Amino acid sequence: MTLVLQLAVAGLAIGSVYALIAIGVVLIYKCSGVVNFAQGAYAMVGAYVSYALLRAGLHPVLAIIGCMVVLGGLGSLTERLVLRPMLKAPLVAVMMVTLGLLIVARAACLIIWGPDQIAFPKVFPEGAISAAGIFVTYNYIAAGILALVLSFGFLAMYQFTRIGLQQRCAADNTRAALAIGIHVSNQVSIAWAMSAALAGLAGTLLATLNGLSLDLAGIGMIAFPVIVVGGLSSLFGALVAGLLLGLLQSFTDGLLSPVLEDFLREHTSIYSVGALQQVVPYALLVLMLLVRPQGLFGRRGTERV
Amino acid sequence: MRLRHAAAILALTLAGALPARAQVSVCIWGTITGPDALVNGMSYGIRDYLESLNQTKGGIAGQKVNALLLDGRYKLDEELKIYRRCVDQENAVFISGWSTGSVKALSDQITQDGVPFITQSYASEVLDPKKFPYIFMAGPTYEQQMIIALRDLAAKGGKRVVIMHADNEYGRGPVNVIRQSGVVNQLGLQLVDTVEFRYDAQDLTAQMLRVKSRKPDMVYIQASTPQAIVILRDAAKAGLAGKLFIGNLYTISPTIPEQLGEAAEGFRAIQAYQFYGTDIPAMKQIEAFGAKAPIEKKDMYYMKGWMEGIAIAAAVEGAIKQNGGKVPADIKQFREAVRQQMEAQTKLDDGGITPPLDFSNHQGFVQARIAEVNGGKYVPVGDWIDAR
Repeated sequence: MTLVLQLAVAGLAIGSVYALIAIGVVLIYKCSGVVNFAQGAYAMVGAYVSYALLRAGLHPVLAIIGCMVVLGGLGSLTERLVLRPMLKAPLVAVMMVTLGLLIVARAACLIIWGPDQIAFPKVFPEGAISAAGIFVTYNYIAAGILALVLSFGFLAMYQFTRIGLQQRCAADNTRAALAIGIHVSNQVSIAWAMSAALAGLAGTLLATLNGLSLDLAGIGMIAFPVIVVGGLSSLFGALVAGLLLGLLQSFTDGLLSPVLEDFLREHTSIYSVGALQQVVPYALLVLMLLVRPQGLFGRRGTERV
Repeated sequence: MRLRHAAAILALTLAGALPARAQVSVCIWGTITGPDALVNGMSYGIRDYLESLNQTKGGIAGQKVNALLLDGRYKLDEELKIYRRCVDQENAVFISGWSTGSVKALSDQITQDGVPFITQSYASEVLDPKKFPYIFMAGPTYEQQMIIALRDLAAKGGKRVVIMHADNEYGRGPVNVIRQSGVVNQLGLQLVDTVEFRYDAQDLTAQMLRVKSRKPDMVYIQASTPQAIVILRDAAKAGLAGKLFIGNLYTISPTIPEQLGEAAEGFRAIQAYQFYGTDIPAMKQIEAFGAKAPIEKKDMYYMKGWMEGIAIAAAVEGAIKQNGGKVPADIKQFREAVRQQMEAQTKLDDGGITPPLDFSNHQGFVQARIAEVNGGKYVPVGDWIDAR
């Protein structure tokens, strides 16, 4: 039971970071119909920016805020300079451009910070809570809670504020939004800025948990199964699916793999099921597409025209 | 530092564009940008030793050496391409190759091409002078390293062993050899679990909880420094102490205590070469070279590379001398002569980095000891052991 609880805590902490990334992807998709492959790049760049700010002596809170501001600007610039000129280009071409952005960002970070893993400066207090056999470090708790609070905070902002209303309006019906005086292009720009800022924060939180390296960009790939499972157009779905995926990965590694391997070692010559964890998100994606293509919280027939 | 990275990448790009001019060409491929770049010191070490010969002696036996450093990025297809380039285009007389997967994939091809090859992989499967007469290794095999750790546990009265390994040839190969050999049981130990993980894994917390549930007395890591960092960091998250873990010789980088601090304390690793900065004659040569050129990696792996550079240079020098002081015109003859000279080295002095090298059986040496992180530094905790 202790093991299950510990795995649940670990899964929720990492899942909340997945959720932050996925929310950003859904936000852009809702507003512009583009699946942004560069989301992982924003997370990686955000972590490196936070690292640079922390190394410059900034307080962790200011460094995280600074990172979100820088990434927000970067997201907005991406939309203005790269995406907006491609307004009439096929969506596939736009998505390929976002893939190109991921490669360029990775190369830029490689040149600036080198290929080696970097120890991320301490953001949260050191130490751990140990109760009833469960052992959880402070940084895990802090990163998980912060990611969850920000995810819910963002959803609340999207639901209850004026800018959220404008965002939803522009996402739901562009022509209607234009008719009532909403500057749709600006809303798309804001969506890119918010999405990149969230990814930057997620990247920073991930770096506090797992250290900093170029491989952090790979987190973006996890976001895609998350958004498909949650429902392409559902921000809340992205949150739930992110947590679900974190839990599934954790239980796969901590429970399913050992049970399977023990069985296989006992009865066959197979000794390892490999890194089964990496299969789980995509297996879930295929299953969801077969059983409920619109995702857990998506609407049937979700389509941008 | 940033400029140096940019310069290194630019230099690698340019190196790819320029033809080799020297008569003696040595190809070194490593992971310059890839998942195990933290342990690439040996690639720089070989290059720098050969460069130091160019600077101080005009090369090897009066011939300038073209020491070509290439980036395999730990990608099999890239490494295979580089190998072909080294053999066919660069006319390399000696090649230093990187990953276990690539060396195993190329082992027959190397014999066919007849090119002397020093492997940075310590897989016992490629150490066979009869089957692979051109492949040389400079240190104990992964399996021998693992046995040192297992013997240490048995001597201390431990019982339960977990092996963690990467999901590639480097991880799986040696673990399978050890598992199937029955050596764990022979030593009175019990292999309670083996845990495979992605080579580029960023989070192994759940795996560490699995390891914890097995209640091991020792966890052996068959992976490199970047993975050891993830393992030890996530072990701390799961409440497992660093002293429970021991890694192979690619987990002895100063980066581990630097990055992990307290979580690395007590972590042990196999040491086969003297540390950078040790008071030995080779270090004085390195410092002299460092006064003129920047040293990219100041760690044990650089020392390993410097040692390998000494062995390569000695074999090449022997082959040139044998040919009356001239480089043999036929590259095949030259390579064969270098191979024979390499095998003829039985008491090669590498300035104290290792015991005298003996490549007659292609392994160089087999001595190793265990070092432990203590106060943020690796400190030897035992005598040198003959790993055979």
